[in-house]
Amino acid sequence: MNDLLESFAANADEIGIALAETGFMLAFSLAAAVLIGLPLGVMIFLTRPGGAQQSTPLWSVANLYVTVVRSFPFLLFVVFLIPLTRALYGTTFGTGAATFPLCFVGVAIYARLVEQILLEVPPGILQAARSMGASSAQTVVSFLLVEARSGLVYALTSAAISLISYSTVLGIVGGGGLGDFALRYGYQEYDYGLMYSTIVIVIVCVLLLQTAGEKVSAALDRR
Amino acid sequence: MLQATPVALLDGVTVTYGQATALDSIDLTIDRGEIIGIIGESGAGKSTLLNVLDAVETPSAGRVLVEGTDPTELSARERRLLRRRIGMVFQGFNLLSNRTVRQNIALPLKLQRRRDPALIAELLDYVGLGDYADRYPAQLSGGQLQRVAIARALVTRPGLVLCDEPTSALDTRTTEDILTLLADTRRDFGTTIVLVTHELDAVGAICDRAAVLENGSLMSVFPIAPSARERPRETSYLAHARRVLGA
Ligand SMILES: Nc1ncnc2c1ncn2[C@@H]1O[C@H](COP(=O)(O)OP(=O)(O)OP(=O)(O)O)[C@@H](O)[C@H]1O
Ligand SMILES: [Mg+2]
Repeated sequence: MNDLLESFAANADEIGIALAETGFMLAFSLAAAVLIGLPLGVMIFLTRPGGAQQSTPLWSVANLYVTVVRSFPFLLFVVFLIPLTRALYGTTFGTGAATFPLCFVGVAIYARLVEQILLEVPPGILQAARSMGASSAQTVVSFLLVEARSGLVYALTSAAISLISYSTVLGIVGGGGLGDFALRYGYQEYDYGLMYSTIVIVIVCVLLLQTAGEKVSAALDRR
Repeated sequence: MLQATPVALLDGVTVTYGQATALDSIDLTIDRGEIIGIIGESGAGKSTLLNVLDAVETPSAGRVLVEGTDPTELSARERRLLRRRIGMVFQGFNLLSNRTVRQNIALPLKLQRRRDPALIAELLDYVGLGDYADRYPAQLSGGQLQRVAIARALVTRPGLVLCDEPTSALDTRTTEDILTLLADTRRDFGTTIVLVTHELDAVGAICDRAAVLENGSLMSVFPIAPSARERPRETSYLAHARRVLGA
């Protein structure tokens, strides 16, 4: 137990940095999920076959993107993106560059969740929007997103937790973060105590996120 | 001038879905200020007829005039604007559960970038929900929800209100209240009301005419006999149960 505390104290700075790196990667990929994934999910919902703004080309492209990114083994996806990452960032190494592939995944995961949640909005809501002469934009903003808001927050929580999990792989391109720390300072140094305590930190982070997401989601839900 | 023009005119209107014919060559005139009941069995084409009147469904043959315009000659945007002048009340209320009663009623105005708190307060009182303005739909009974939906339909002061089975989800007593509210609406605002229902009692209680649909065909349109009105308004659930069950 003392050993554990000692190695923990000795590595406190490193753990702090790793936590910040994870936070950085999560913040940017979540921002991408909301700013790009949400509109993309709405578009997939509207343009789907039988949807309000049916458009096979748009739907096919968006749907293909989501499916491909989600089924691509993440590690290989990171490697696959290296040329693009280099072109954009000038480097393929470090937390900033590592966040790039994570953003793609965040967008894809959240777009799919958004689509699923919108499919569950009662059809009567769309009927009401149509009968009031709402434009497409009004239908989305004043009807769909209002009725789906608690589900959308809850789904964002799930997306965040998945992204934490994905981010642990990014040590390979120098992304850092808690997963990478546990691997390099814990596993590779045979300091299993440190490894498991880092994992506990990750679990606590996930629990906090989950609880916060549930609270916000419930507060938004008047059903 | 306005009195003379019918609210809606259907001339040989046919609607088909693939092989199926939902409406078969319907001729019907809806006069300003009337309450007309559209009755028929499930699948007869009642909702399809409402959708034609709401410029949602385009006939595959025939001509429609709603509020003096032919929806098929309008652009999609103009059809939306036409729809804003027609109120719609649904069987399932179709209110936003994450919006308060007041916000739900204000929604049609908000879509037109209009605000009219005084009118909304007036309508809230009119439908008897003055004290419920800041509640959410989940906190209201079925009858109250339908009152909110009616207030929402009236907030744009439409000349025509289309009701699709507005009382089918309600009990007898509440049904009578809602029907009374619809009759009052016509009396107080001169609103033309199309009432789709399978409940003959409802048609007898408030309609001037009934149109009977069967398999997409309009079988007959006839005036409601005065005797249909005279069914005593039930004073209690017990009285109703006694009458129906004959105790
Ligand atoms: N979007 C659609 N696609 C295909 N068929 C449809 C569609 N809408 C309606 N129909 C068909 O058209 C016919 C008339 O339907 P409609 O909904 O108008 O009936 P209704 O009289 O309102 O019935 P209910 O009392 O059950 O509401 C039915 O046979 C129905 O199956
Ligand atoms: Mg129907």
